[in-house]
Amino acid sequence: MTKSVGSVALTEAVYYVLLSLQVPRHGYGIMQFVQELSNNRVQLAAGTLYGALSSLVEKGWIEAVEGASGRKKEYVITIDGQSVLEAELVRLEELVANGKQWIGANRS
Amino acid sequence: MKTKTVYRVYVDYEKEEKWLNEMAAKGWLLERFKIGRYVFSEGKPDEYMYRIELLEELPNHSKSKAYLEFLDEMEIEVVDTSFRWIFLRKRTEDGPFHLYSDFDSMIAKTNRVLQLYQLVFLVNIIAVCINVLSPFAVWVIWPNLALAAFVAYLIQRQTQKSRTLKGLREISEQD
Repeated sequence: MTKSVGSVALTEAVYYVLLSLQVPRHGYGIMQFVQELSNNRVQLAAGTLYGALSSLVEKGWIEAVEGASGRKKEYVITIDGQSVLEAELVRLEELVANGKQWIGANRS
Repeated sequence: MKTKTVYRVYVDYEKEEKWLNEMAAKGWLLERFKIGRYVFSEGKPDEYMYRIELLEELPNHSKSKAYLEFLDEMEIEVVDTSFRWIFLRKRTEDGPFHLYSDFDSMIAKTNRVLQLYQLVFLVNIIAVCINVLSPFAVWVIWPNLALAAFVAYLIQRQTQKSRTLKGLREISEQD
């Protein structure tokens, strides 16, 4: 099933990976950043992170860049990736707004 | 450095992984593996956690090399490789060691293992069939059948695991 880019619901891992790549980071940096952002709730395991990075590179949402730290490969978000992330934020805001409006609505 | 060699045969990789971690908890760290032969070195108890991974390709394939390089960057050490199996370890002080943290990648790994078990099952059944039709080593038939039966049990368990994971994925976000 193919969906247009704007209507994709991202997995939590992909959403946080894209968010962490607003600046270039290597794998370990992504893992640490996501862990900090989510107060240790989201812990990306190495195999899962590798799979996510590979498929995001394939989709053209992120790209590998020459790492400042030398040996380690770094990634950064692309323009396409940025628009997917922004569309996802709109979708998430809708979910949150509807949740706030309707959760417990029958009790008030 | 004190070493210890243990001879054992595992068909079930999950049992094998559990055993390696029990050894590591006691301070025996796997260093080398050849089918049936495990070489451990003496270290500190609970220093490392081990995981066994099944690659999509052989370790010297470019795809596997890129993955192994990534694991190295993630502070995960490749201890040894055997066919498509790799033995990994990570320091316990760096937190819990899991290779997969979402359903899709867990399902993919389960299916890779499942396919390998199915292949082992098939090879054994074919060997038994050939042996029955034109006996070349009749005594092998029983071990072949025993192995096939055990692998059939593992296939059933992995299939169940895959089904459970797929059920969980259906009610969560997906690509």
